Amino acid sequence: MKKTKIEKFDLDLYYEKLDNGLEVYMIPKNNCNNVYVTFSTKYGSNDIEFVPINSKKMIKVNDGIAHFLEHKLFEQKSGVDPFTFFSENGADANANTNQVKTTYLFSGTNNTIENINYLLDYVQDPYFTDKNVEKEKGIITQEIKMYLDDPDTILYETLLKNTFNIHPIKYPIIGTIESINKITKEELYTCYNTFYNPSNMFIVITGNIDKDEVIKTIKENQKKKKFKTINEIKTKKYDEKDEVCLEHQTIDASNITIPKTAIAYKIKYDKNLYINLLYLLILFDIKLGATSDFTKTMMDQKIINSDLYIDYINTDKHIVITIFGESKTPDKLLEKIKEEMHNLDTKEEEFARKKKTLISSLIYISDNIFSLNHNVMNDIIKYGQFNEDKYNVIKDLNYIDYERFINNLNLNNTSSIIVEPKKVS
Amino acid sequence: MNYKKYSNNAFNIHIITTDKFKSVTMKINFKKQINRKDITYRNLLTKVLLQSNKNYPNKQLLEIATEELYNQGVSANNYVSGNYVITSFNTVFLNEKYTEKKMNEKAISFFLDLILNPNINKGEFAYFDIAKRLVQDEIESIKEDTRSYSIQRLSEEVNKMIYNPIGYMEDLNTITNKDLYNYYLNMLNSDLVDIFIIGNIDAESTKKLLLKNVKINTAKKPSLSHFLENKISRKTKTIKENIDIAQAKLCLGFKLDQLSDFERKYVMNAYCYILGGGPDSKLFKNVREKHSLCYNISCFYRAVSNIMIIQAGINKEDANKCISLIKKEMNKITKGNFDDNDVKASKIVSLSALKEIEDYQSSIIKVFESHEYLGFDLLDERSSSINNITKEDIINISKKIHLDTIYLLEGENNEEN
Repeated sequence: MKKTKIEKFDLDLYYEKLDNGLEVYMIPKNNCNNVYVTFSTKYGSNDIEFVPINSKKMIKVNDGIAHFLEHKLFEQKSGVDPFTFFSENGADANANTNQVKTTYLFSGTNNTIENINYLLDYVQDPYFTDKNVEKEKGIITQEIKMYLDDPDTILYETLLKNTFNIHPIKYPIIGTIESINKITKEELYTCYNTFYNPSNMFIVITGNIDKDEVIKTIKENQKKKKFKTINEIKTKKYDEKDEVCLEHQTIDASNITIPKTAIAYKIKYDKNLYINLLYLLILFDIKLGATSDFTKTMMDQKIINSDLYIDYINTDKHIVITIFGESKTPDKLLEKIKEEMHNLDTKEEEFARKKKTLISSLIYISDNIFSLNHNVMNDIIKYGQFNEDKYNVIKDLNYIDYERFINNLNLNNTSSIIVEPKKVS
Repeated sequence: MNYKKYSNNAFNIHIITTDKFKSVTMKINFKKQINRKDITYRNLLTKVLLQSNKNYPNKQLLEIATEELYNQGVSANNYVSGNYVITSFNTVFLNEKYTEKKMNEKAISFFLDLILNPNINKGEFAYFDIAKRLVQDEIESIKEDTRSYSIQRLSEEVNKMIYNPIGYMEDLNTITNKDLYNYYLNMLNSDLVDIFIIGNIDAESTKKLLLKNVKINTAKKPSLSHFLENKISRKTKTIKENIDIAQAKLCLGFKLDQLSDFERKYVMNAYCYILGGGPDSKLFKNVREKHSLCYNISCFYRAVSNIMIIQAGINKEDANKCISLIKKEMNKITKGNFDDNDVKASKIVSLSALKEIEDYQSSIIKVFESHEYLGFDLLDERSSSINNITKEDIINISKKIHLDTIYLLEGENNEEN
C-alpha cells in the first residue's frame, strides 16, 4: 500500500492497485464516526459507442443505458434487496450516474466490513431478466417526467445540446422515454461485461476505518471471483469542433414565472487540465462573480436580483464554462455578459484574493468525508489519479502566468439559451 | 464534546466545544409567536440585512470582505415551527488555527454586524428595493418546484397554521421601508434569542465576546408550546389543482391523534421509516418496484405540526390505484402484518444516524436547538429510547394516524409516450 500525505488536509491517502486491476483509495479520518464508501466504474452516459468485450466491432447502444444499468444492478438473483441488506446493517445506500462514471455507495457508522463485502458482491453479480428490465421502464419514465417539470434541468440539458455538435455529452444522461423503452436484457449484459471489469473500476473510502482490515477484506473478496482480462476498452473518439452547434435558442417552459438564462463558453485545451480550470474559474469569478463590478452594475440597473452561478464541465478536448442567471430582461443580461467578457483585464489583488478562497475551500473539504470522497473520485476521473498536491499548486499560481494564459484565450465560441414562461393562449 | 448554556434573560448562549473540526459554525435564532404577516416581514428582513451594513455599505464590499475572511459563509432563513416563526442567521468560518491569529474574533464580529449594525439612513434600510424584488421573485416562482409546492399546499389544507415560509404578495405590497425598520427594532427587543456556537474554541472568552457585542437587553420569557393541536375530522377532503406539468404530484396528509411523548419523539419516526422512509420501505417496494407506478414515493413526519405526509410523482390516471395501494400497506401495519426485522432495521438505521450527527457541526447544533425549543432528548437518551421501540408500539401508533386530505397537483400533458 502506498501512503501519501495530503498537504493542508492533516490526512493521509493510502493507495493500492489489486491484481485484477481494481484500484483502492482510502483516507482514514478517525475523529469522525461515519464511513463513506463509493465503488465506481469509469462508465457513464457518454459511452454509447464502443467495442464490446470479446468482439472487434464498434457498436452503438441506446441513450440512457448507463443509468438504466445502474437501476438494474439492485436486482439480485437471491431475491435479497440490496437496500434491505444495507438498511438492516444501519447504512444508507444509493447509486448515481453521470456522463463519465457510475457510482454505487453507502455510508454508515457500523458493520463497515460486512457492508464493503456486500457492496462488491451485489455490483459484481448482475441479474437481468426480460421481466425485470420491462418493469424498470415504467419507473424510469416517471423519473424522466419528473425532470421534464424541472426548468433548471431543461435549461442545462438544452445548453449542452447546443454547445456540442457530435460529442454524446449533448444528450441527457437519463436518455429519452423513446430510447429507454428500446433497451433489452442483452444490451445491458453487453455494457455490463465490458465496463464493469475490475480494471475499469475504483473504490474510494473516507472516514473512520481500519485501513489494513479494509484492504485485506477487499483483496480476499476479489480473490474469490474470476474476471476476464481486458487490456483496454475501446470507446469512440469524437472529433468535436471548437465551434458550437447552435449559438442561441429561446424556449419556453410551463411552470416558471421569471425567465432563466445561461451561456456556455466552449474553450479548447491540450494539456494541464487542472491549471487551465483554475485560471478559467478565477477569471470568470473575478469578472462575473459575486464580488465583481459587473454584478454590482447589473443589480443597480435591476437586470438581476441575485448573483450569477458559475460552473464548468469538460470533455477530453474542451472546457465549457457555464454561467446561469435569472432576469426579467434575459436578452439584456446575455448581451452585457458578452460585452463584459471582451475586456479580460483583472487586478493582481483580485487574483490573490481568489487564490486565498481556493485554499480555504480545500480546508473546508478536509472536514467532511463526503466532500473528501467526491474530491478523490473527481480527480481519478479527470486526471487518472488523486492529486494530493493541490494546495501547493494553488499556492504557486502566479499572476504573470495567469496573464499569459488570459492573453491567449479564445472566448469566441459561445452558446446561450433563454427559458421563458409559456405564453397563455 | 462539551456543552454549556448561559442565560442573561435577554438571550441564551449555547457553546459547544470540540476539537473535531477545522471550522467554526454559529447560528443566531430570533423566535416569535407566529402571525401570517410576520413571514413576509421576516423574509424581507433577512434579504435586506444580507445586502449591506454600516461597515460594508454595499453587497459587493460585503462579498469581498467574506473572501478576505478566508471564505466565510453567511446565510439566513426563516422557518415555521408550529406556533412560532424562527429567523436564523448562520455562519461558518475557518478556525484561526488554520488561518491567522485573531481571525475568530474578526469573523464573529463580522457576522454580528450583519444582524446588529444595519445600513440605516433616516430610519430606512439601504437596498430595501432589491430585497423587495428578491422576495417578489420567490413568491412568484413558488410553483417552479412542483414537489415542494404540492407539499406546502397540502399542509395548508390540513392545518391553516402551517404557513409557507416565503410570504404573501398582498402583504409584501403594503410593507414600507419604515415599517420594516420598526419591525426590525421590535424583533430585537421582543423576540426570544438563542445563540449557538460550535468549534475548537475557548468557551469562556467566546462567552465574554458575545456578551460584549450582542447588545440586546430586554428580558423575555417563552410561553406557548411549539406543537400545533389537531382536530380530527371524520371526512377526508380531496383537492385537485391543475397546472401545465408532465408529472402529477400526489400528496396525502394525515393528522396524528393524541401522541404520547415517547410516540412523538421516537415511534412516529420508526413508523415512517418502515412505511415510506427509503428504498427499503413498504411503499417503495410495492408502489414503485412491484407496480412501476412512480420513481419517487416517500413518507415523512412533521413533529411540530403534528402531521404525516406521503408524497409521490405519478401519472394522474394512476392516482386512485396509488391511493388504494398506500392504504393497503398502511392497513397491513395496523393488522400487525409486518416483520420484526422491519422494526429492527428502523432502529439500527436510526442508531447509526444518531452517531453520524456528531460528525457535522450543523447537526449537533440542531440537537441542542430541538432540546431547547421542543424538549427533545440529547443524544445519549435518544439511543436508549430508540432501543425500546417495539412492534406493538408501531401497531398502536398506526391507529392514531388519520387521513385528512388528499391533494393532487395534476399534469395536463401526460400523454407524450
